[in-house]
Amino acid sequence: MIETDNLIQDLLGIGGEDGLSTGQAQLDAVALDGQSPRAIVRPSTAEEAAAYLKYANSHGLKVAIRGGGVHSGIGNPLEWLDIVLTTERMAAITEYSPADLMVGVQAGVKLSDLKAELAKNGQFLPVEAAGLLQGATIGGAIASNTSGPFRLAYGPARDWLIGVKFVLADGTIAKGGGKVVKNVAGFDMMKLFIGTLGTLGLIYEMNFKLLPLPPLTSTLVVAFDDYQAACGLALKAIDTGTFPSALTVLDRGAALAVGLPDRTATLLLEVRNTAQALERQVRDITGLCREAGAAGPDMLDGSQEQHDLWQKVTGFGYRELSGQGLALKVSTLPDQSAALLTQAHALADRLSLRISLLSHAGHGLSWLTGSYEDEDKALEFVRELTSWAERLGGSVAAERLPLALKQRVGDVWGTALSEGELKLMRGIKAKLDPERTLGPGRFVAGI
Amino acid sequence: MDKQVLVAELLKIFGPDGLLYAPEDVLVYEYDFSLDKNLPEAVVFPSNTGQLAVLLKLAAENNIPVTPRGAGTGLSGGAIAVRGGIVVAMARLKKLMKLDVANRYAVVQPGHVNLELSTEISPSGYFFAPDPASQKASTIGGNLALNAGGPHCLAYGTTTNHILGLEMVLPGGEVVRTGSAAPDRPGYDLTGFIVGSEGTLGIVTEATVKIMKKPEAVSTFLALFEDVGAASDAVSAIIGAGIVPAALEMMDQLTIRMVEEALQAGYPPEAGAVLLIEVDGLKESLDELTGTIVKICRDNGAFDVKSATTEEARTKLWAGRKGAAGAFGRVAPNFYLHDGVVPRSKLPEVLRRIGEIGVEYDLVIANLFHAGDGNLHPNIMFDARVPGVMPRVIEAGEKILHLCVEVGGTISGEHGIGTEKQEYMSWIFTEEDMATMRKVKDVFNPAEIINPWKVFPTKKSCGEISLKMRLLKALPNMDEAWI
Repeated sequence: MIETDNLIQDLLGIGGEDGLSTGQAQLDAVALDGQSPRAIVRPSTAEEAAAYLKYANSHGLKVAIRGGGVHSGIGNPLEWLDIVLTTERMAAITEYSPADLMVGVQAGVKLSDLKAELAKNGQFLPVEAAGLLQGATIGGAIASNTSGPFRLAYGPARDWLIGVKFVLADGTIAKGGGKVVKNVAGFDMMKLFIGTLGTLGLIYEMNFKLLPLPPLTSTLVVAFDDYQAACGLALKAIDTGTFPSALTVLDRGAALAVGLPDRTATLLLEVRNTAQALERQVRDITGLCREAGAAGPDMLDGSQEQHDLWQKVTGFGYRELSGQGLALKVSTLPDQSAALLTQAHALADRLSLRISLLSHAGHGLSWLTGSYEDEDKALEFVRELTSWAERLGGSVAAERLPLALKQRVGDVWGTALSEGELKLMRGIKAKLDPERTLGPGRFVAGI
Repeated sequence: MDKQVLVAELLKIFGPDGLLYAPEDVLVYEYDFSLDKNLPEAVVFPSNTGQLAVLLKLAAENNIPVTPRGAGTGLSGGAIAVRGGIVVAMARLKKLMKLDVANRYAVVQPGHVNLELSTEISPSGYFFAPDPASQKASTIGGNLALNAGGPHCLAYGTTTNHILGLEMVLPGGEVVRTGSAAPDRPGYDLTGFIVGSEGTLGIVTEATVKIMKKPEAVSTFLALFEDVGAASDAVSAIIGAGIVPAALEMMDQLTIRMVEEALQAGYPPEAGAVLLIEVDGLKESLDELTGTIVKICRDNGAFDVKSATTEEARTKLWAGRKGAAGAFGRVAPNFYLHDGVVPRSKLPEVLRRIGEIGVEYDLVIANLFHAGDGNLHPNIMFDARVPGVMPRVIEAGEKILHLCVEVGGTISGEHGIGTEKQEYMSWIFTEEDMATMRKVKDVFNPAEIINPWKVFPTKKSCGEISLKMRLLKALPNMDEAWI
């Protein structure tokens, strides 16, 4: 570390008192991997953010970027931390044109606020994130590439991002894309920046495509005695053309966690459409349930009731971990959901972990939470599940781990990436953040 | 490298069946559907990734430019060997390698023709959504290089949304696989960055693509208007009412007449403008959706609505739309096709101003385009043999694109930048924006071995390779272009 005796004075010189926090309690509240920063900076403009980053970059200081703090813990242990840069003062909706189904937002806008604003015009942005009620920001959701159940209908978040503005570590302010829904001019910097966890630059502003809210929705709850039957029905619902918008299979623990009855396996389906078509979808799915010999389905029609349930499902991976808990995001092919549920429970039983698992059986992402007593066994669990998923072409991201376990895991994203991919990723990092100012060590393979 | 030595080396890699080098043989590889052309020294036809890896090693070691080429239907010069060298024609890498219906993906080689993929997998009940008008000929590799659009992007998104993973050969011959059929592969989104990079990062040799369940029912209809102003008001009103149809296309009167004369597709020549609208989904939803859209059209001045009641009528309407560009050749020997995008609410204003630009430059401009996306395709019709016409054509085109940028839009929605619009990039991007993009490009293709001199502005001193200069030299026949 390079000594910066005048750190505080220098930071004050850039953004004044409004842009700086140095109280120990505040610093400790944003600690990452057991490290409290020496200062928190809160730029109110891209230019201010650029000045802070340029300063840090030229003084060898290491910076972590923070939105609502919901996803800040994702990643490998930070090598070092001097400054936390928060987006809380860059929180304006810069442009909202309902007639164009387009919105421009600064990174610090809270997802819940954005959702409310768009709903006033009967529109929504299909970007889902855990921690909606805990202050998750749109910048954080994009930086960590979050997903939820409705990815089945709308695709990943990246499909909705049409423009991005960012600040690089050296203070360069640049952008990609624009504000129209089709645009092939220049390289796709939106794709480059999504999911980078602040390791390539600060995403400070984004433009998104929007959609009209669905006219009507129905949620069906079906109970099963085994995972295979639940996941089988989920895939059948797609293949027979009932066009579900979300399909989620929950084990016993996950069902209880979202307030559903205690069943071995529960399948949640959601359909959205106009009245007549919705009726037909529900009828067809009910027929599939009968064929499969399942009871029900139970129907949730009240929109608030449905909304609350799906919000809990989306938030499942996120909890304030106390003590020895973990949360893993598992990626498999959709037809491996049942195998994942079986495999994870067999492993957990053998290694004495208590786990809950929720699998979006239509798109292949699952979230697993668990608690353990024996750290060695927890480590073995993460490693074995990771190598199982990787053998089948998927991956595991150990998103939330206590620091002691995180330090032992190696890479929280496992070993799925080839040397060829890593070489390109390291090359990109070296070009855009050569001093490794931004979140050093946090990304895959310690990038 | 001396040409004889080069040919000998290429023979070793590709054999006599996989190589063309006589000037008369490579002549047809000098152009695509842009206004640009340049002769390569040789054309090779790899039949596996290994050959390409050897080629790119040779190319990197000897600084030989290599330009990948799909079907050559591109409209921005992406397949033109502007620095000469070797064209890699992907025609033999066209296999469907894998179809996994349960997990809704397919693995294809880049030379696979777009439409043939959907046809081939059709019995499974699934389809590949990106549908550029060129889809009968254009390849998946070309589609993903350009992030191709098409009428149904409105509902299904552009090509990039449908590409899950790639295999790519880098300069030097290294083969790297990115992405995966399973979601969210860890790390930076290399696949997403490569798609749409116009073949300037590496040569893609395999793509894992998303396939979608076919909609159960489709309703296709035409709404007839007195003029484009009323039709574009209707487009804005449909989108503004929160309706996203599967496709929402517009044609002006000139286009309608040409299409009818050439293709007899069922477009009413008396209309000043038509909207071709398609909605799909469960059959129970279509009546209501169609009714709502028809009402909006009538409220905005539609004087008639004609539905395609049979599959044959529907196919004909789409054949007219997708074959429209070919019909232009009947009216004028040349046309210059543009590809601007504007916010959808600006359509009425922008179309009016494009009309004014036509008058100002004394040029006929026909419009057919993806109205629902705000993606304009103004076609400037002209006869290149008329003295003094070219500067007017170029200036009018520039003015139209600049207008798109002025109202918050962009210079290309789906055709790409290539060599055609590289000098216009600075209208929308700062030096810093482009420098950042170039930095990332340098990670992949630092010496510009693969597809050089594309996308970004050329240095001012290289005036001789600017499009305008070449444009003034010669024009290819555009009769069979697709938009």
